[in-house]
Amino acid sequence: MSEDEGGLDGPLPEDFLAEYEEHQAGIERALLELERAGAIGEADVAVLLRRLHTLKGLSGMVGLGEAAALAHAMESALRGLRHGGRAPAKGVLDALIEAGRALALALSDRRHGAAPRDFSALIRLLSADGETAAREVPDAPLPSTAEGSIALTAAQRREIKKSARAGMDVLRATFGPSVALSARGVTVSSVRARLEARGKILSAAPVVEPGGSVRFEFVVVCPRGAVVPGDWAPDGVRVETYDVTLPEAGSDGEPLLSPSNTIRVGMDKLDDLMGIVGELVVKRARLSELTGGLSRWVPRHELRALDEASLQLERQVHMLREAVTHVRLVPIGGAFARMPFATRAVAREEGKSIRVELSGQETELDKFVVDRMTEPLLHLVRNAAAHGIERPEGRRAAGKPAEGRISLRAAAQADRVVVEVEDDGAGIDAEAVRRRGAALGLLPPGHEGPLDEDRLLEILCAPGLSTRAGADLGSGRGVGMTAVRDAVRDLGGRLSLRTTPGAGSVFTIEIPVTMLIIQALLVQDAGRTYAVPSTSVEEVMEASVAGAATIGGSPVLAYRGGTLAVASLGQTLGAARTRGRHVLVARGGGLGFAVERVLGQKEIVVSPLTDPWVRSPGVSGATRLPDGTILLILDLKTLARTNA
Amino acid sequence: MVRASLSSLERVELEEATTGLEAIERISLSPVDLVVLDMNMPDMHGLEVIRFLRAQEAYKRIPILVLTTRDDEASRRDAMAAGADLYMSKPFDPKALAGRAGELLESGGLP
Repeated sequence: MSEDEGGLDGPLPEDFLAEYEEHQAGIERALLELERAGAIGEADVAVLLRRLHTLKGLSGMVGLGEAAALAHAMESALRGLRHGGRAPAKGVLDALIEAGRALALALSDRRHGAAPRDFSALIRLLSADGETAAREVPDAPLPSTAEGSIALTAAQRREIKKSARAGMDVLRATFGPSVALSARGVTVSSVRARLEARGKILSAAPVVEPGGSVRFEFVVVCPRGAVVPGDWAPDGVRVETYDVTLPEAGSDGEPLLSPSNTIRVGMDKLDDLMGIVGELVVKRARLSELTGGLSRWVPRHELRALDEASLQLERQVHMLREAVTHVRLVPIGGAFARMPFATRAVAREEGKSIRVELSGQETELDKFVVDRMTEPLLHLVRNAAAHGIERPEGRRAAGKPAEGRISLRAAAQADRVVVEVEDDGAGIDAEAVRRRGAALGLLPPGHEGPLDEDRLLEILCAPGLSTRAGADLGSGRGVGMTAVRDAVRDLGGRLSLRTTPGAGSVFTIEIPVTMLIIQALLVQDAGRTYAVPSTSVEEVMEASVAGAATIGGSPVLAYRGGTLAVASLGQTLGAARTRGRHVLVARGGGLGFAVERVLGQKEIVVSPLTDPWVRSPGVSGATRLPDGTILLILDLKTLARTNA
Repeated sequence: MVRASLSSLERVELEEATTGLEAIERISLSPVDLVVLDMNMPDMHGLEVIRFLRAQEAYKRIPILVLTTRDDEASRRDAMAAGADLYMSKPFDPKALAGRAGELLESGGLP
């Protein structure tokens, strides 16, 4: 593995650990079941192969090369079972099961910082065909019997612990048969019967000694003192205390896998939790109002304790809200992780040299959003690699370094997260896009004149027609752009493009951060009240719009050394035009909105408006006030843009 | 009845074991040339016996003839997959059993 894939030696993310362990456990279970039953059904083998495939991918992503190779060898070895059927020959099956365990060891090694083990012998075994594999495997005794530690089920171990706690003896009785003993009538059956008369036999199994002779081990639970070693020795039975702390069979000193410190929680549970917290915020606000009203009848000093308690409650609720919101946030790095590998594949195919730079991976977004960002980002990055970045010769001819660069950046802004995919390639081929636009009927035939970037993007993202003979629909970025646009739109976000021929392109995705509870400014204009997220307001200016200078019919004000166009909020939203004195300056500039009254700041619970019929540019949600009124939450930036 | 059937074979000495563990004990104490094995045994299932024998260098080539009441395809598959050489179900034809057993003894196990 080369060093240019950043982060491969870093600590493994918890998400990854949980998933790896889940798959490894499933693989091990399936293989053991395969051994037990001697055969496997088609559906089960499909699941097993899928798990191996996924694990292979996961391992590759974080540089667990040895695990990936092992998983690959296991897949190949199982390929013959694709449609279900009998278990492979014993040698191969043993190797598979050992390999399943080895997958866990590989992870364990990595987590404890140990050097990766060499699994090449195991991989060779898996690659050999059944016959040779059976011959190569040294005759290992059944697992767990070689060292004399008996493999017990979890239920058996529990019973042992329970008995030990109850003061009973837990013993290991080992019987070595011999011809002489047998002549005396002492056989494994007679020994067993004798033990059964004294206590309860939890387990009885044959064990092969290193020399090849067979003995039998019994794990027995009996009342203290019921089995005296001296009584049994003459019959070839060795009695010792069964050490309940012995490591489980199969482990020869390997570090026990420490479970990852995460649990998987269904998103629906988190949604419920969020809903409850939201209600709590609203109720607390109501309580605050009611207590405020008390001051009319109760002297101030009497109310002090109540006030303090109320304040503390507010702080606690605030902390709770933060904590719950935090639970749903995951770093966008998860979506970024696959990019370097996807790029490498494309680069190799096309004979290009490409470097991927990531930044802002720690930027956190709701998990829902991150999950849905992965595909669009993958499309954009692949397109940049396949169509944006030129071949090394072309780049050198253009005076660029032979290695192309694709940058993936994420940054959090006031109320949104901005993700950019930038390449230093050839830029969008406007001519090809023009042809596509014409072919799709989006441009009048013979259209001339420059296409602005919004238009370019629109044509790029327009769903293509099925093959149309003779028409060149290839602008080079076709595949997947429609999906990207739709995915971004579904997240309530926005996709934009900046491109410079010969220098490269930047695709920008803006996603509003779904914060359920926000601070908002309540304003009133033209008889209606609206909520505006406080973070989206740069400042509130007092200004008289009446009598202000106008440019193109719109009043403008002097603002910070420049001018600010001002619109009536009421009018912008389709109500009557007013002459408010309070101007909300949208953060990000562009426009100021005049309102008649500013009612103050309030903490509100955001209810997203997800119904596409109700969605409207400039309206990012709705909220219900404690007294029951429902307000629309405005997105000033969008309003500013669509009305500039 | 098994004994009766098998004793018809020439130059054959029979050893009997009533449980799986006993079978292993007997096999370990004196070499055998053929194992006729029931599957449903109380202390150790026939499958485990087969697997145990097949896992040991010393016993892995001993022919194993499974004779059992279970006649379903899955059980047969299990037994053969574990390493049995022949699978016969009860009730059985004594002559057939003797015949197959004789074959196994002569060939020393199926190829």
